[in-house]
Amino acid sequence: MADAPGAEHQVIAGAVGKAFGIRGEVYVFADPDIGDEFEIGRAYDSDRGGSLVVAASRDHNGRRVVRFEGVADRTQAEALRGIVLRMPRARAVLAADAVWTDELLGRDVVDDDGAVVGVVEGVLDGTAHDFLVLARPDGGETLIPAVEALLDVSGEEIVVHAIPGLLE
Amino acid sequence: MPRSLKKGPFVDLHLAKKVEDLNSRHEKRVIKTWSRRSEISPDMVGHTIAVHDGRKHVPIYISESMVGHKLGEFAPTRAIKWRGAGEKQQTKVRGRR
Repeated sequence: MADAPGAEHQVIAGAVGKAFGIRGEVYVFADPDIGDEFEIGRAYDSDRGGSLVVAASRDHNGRRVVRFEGVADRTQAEALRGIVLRMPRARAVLAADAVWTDELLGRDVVDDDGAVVGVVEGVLDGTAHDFLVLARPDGGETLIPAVEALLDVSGEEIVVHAIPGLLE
Repeated sequence: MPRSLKKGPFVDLHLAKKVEDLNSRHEKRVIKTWSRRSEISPDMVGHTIAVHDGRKHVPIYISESMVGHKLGEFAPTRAIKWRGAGEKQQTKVRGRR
């Protein structure tokens, strides 16, 4: 997916789902790690250009139903389906167990003894959890599960609790 | 027809033995396995199992919510081809649970 202009300062807040009812409402799926509430009056940049402003927002059986300004009927609402909603990163509140990728990239990774075992060169999506891609000093690459039991990212250096076999 | 409950979850014997061995010694180490068909049992929770995806071993940290699934479900064998897939859509890391 191509990034929208200025996307380096924006994050995906959610996506528009199918239309709901006949009054121009749509289901909106918020990114679970940001959990935006789509409060009334908030503006979101659309990946199709322009921006959408929330006119009404409510919970419906655990799902978020939103009406955007200028959308008055179901036909207009159906046209919004699939739009990716972006917002300024400064407005995003991350979940407690998530971190921004760019805060990790390029950081040294050390083991429990403080020895440098590599540098973070990427992050991969995984089915169970994400992975840090570690560039080892010998030129190889290692995947490390991005889970709290194995990683500590709170300090200046990322500490990996390297159980035997993890860094091979 | 689902597997009979009487039999318990299917886990390849060589893998079950390794997990049992580590549990008895209260030790943590990465277990390399090719056994994608093995089901994740409660004994495996907290261990890191490197599951073969056909090319390399992918280290999977086993959590409680993964019990009952097969190991192969967490190490996809195919590269995703469609546009944008496989790239990080968000600039964040998920799953530090």
